[in-house]
Amino acid sequence: MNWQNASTRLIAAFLFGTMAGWFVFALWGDWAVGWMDGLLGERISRAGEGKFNDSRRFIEDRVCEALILWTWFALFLVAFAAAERWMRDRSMLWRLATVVGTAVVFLQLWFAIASGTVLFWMFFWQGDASHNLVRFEIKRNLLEDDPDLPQVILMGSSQIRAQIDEQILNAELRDLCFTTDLNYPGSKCFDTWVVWNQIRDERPEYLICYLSELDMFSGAHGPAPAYFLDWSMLIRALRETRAPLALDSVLRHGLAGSTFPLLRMREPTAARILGPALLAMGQERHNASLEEDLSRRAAESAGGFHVDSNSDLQKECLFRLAHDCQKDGTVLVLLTGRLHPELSRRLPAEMRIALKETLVRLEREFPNVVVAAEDEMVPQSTTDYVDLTHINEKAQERYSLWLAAWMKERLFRESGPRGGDHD
Amino acid sequence: MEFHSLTFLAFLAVVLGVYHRVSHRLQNRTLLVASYVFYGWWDCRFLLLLFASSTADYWIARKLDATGSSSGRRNLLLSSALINLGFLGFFKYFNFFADSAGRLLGMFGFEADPVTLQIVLPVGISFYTFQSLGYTVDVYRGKIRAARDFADFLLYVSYFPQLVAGPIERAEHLLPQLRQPRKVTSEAVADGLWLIVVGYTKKLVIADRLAPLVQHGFGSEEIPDLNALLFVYAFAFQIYGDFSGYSDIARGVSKLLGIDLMINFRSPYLVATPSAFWRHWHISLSSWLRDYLYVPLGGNRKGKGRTLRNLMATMTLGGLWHGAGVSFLLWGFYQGVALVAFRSKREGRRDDGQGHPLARIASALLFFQVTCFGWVIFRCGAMGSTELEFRTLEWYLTGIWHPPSGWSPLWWPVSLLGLLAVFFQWQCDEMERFSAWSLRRQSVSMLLAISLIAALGVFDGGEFIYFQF
Repeated sequence: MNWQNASTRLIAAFLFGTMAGWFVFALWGDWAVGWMDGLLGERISRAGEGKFNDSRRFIEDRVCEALILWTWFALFLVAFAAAERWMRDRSMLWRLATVVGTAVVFLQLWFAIASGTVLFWMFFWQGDASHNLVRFEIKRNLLEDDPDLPQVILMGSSQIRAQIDEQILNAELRDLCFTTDLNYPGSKCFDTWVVWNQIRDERPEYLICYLSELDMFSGAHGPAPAYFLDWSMLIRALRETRAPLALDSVLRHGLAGSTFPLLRMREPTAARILGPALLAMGQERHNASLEEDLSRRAAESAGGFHVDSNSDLQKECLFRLAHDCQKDGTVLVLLTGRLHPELSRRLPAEMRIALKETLVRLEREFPNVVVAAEDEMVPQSTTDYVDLTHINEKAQERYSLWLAAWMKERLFRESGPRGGDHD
Repeated sequence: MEFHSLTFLAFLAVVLGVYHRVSHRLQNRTLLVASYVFYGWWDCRFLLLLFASSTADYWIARKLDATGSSSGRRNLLLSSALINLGFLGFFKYFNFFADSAGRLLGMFGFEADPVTLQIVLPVGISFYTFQSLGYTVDVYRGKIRAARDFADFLLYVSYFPQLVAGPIERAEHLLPQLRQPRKVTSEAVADGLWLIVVGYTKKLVIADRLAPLVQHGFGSEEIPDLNALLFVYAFAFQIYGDFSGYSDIARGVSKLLGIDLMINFRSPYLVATPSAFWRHWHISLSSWLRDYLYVPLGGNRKGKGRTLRNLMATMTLGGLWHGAGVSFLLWGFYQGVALVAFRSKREGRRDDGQGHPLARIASALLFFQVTCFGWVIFRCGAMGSTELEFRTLEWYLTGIWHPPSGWSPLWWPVSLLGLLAVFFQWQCDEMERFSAWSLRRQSVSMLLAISLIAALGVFDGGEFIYFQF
């Protein structure tokens, strides 16, 4: 080892710093975390907006994540330097290919590890303008930090976020469960199944989905697979569903992102570096192009709903989701979803019938499925909606309170999750 | 088949795999087949056009070589020009001129019902037509001998890396490379790979990230203010990233095949005069226009008046080369005026980038505004109709002077991506010497560029802007 070499000294310093960091953490970590909690705990809890309860645990986990990421970065530097040294006597092209190849692989590895930490995703946080993936990943990674109560996950499209306020549920069901909203806008049943497979290792006790015609009859998938699909899930989808699945650009992005994690973080990274305004332009253009008159917009939107092979795919995915939940010991709660009456009445009646029949069949076939029928819910009228699919805050509060009461009655009357083979 | 598609990468892998396993003669045949497949991917009907245009020029050039009389040679050259420009005129300008003639007659009170056809523009026609025409002119001038091998000539016109958006190669540069056996060194491969990565960075990170912003800015109905300038700058960086990115990828791919293509872009936004701009921007076109249009018109040899007239004519026609529309004509005219104005003003002064660095930066910044004004006119050419072109132009020219109520948050991404574009221009000579860099510099640069593409690239962006020309 040539200690005169500047890069050798730099790498040695990195490695020494890493070891020293772990040593300090082992010896005085507890005290340091306590000190930081005293100093920042309250502010952190406030900023968390109910996403976690224990600020001390939050700080401790983030410090640990920082050390893990730093360690991997130091190892990455060592690998880079080793590849450089190892290939010193080879031809220029070989040296370049090996060093760049090693660096790319390690970088992907680092990003794959980093994407499993809250600390990494906090870097991408931009308040209300944050990318959907950033919100999702922060909340998903915080699941581990949540209190030792039964976990309730809300999943599906943005409709479930509009319908249910997780904070109301957490307040109403304080000692019974802890709810985390992991919706991904634009999701269909296929997306929900794909996303569920990303979080099923957490083994939440309850999964709640709000299913309307939007989830079943409006296309093959939303944007979520671009961020959550991986090769094993694609193989499962092709093997376990009979409906055709076209490998379009969203699915291809998902597969590319699963192979090279940096690709998956492309949009949040672009938003972080270039600012959210550039990326929001597409959404703004879409919003501007929407028909202002709700009735005419409903007529336009109704054209996008079809009973076809895509709706068959959604149905099959829903059954696969119920099956997976049963295997994991998770109770799947299906809320019969609704749309703005203007849109509902423009859709063929058989869609509604098919949706309800599917839910009934699911409840009959799977002991872990609980369906909340439409007539059990609080009514929703035209005035409750802000657009064709989302309700306003007042209606949301009403619905969330109803759901909390319904859950107390239907899910928590007897303690522990209903059905399933929890292992 | 776009350079930034997976299909192209697969196609390139197959071509390289076959190419490096066969003899020189078969290498040329492989490239010819690959080039026709590449072109036919868009629309195989236009393969006939490409073949017809190449065959005509091959045959005319052979005749030129064999003909001694100057009138006969002139007639042959004229027939080549008529065939090439005839194809170009029909496919690219027929509707525009028929429509314009109808409007003109209408202005004088004549009822006119112009015949316009639903003509599809063959991709890259302006590029390969100029390349093929340049060849016959060179043979006519005795600068080169006519190509003997028909297949080699077909390959010269259709060579896939530069077929659809240049650089417009000269026969004296490309044909000898096609005739000679080629040796692909590891340095050439490293340089080629680097150029490809740089090209993708320019296209996917700079051009395609800015594309929606430009689209929004040039289609906006809102009352503009000074913030609208950012759309102009965004377009300036977008078109640089898009076009120079394409040229870099073309040159990089060609290096992997052992063939050198000319540099098409240097640092166009870091210069301070229109003549310098044209020595840095789309160099293969500007030098083509200089050698085959400006010089034959008399160049600067016949007095000041004639020089200015020749400049105006060359640039206006150069504008029209870009597209059949009033805006492109206007843009060419504007470039001509700028060249004439700067030429008169700077006559006798040095134009070699000497002087105090701050003064040079200030001049470049100032001239960048002149360039950007031209880009507003140019971008209006993509608006779809003459009415829209003028409305957008008016929107910019009248609105841009209004003080803004606040600064748009979009200035940040435009500045950041603009700085990246400027960096590539500032380091353009250094980029060409990649294989001579130290291993650490090579690997860190390559890693940075790949990470930039992976983190900021847009993979479902649009096609290259210059394909429409």
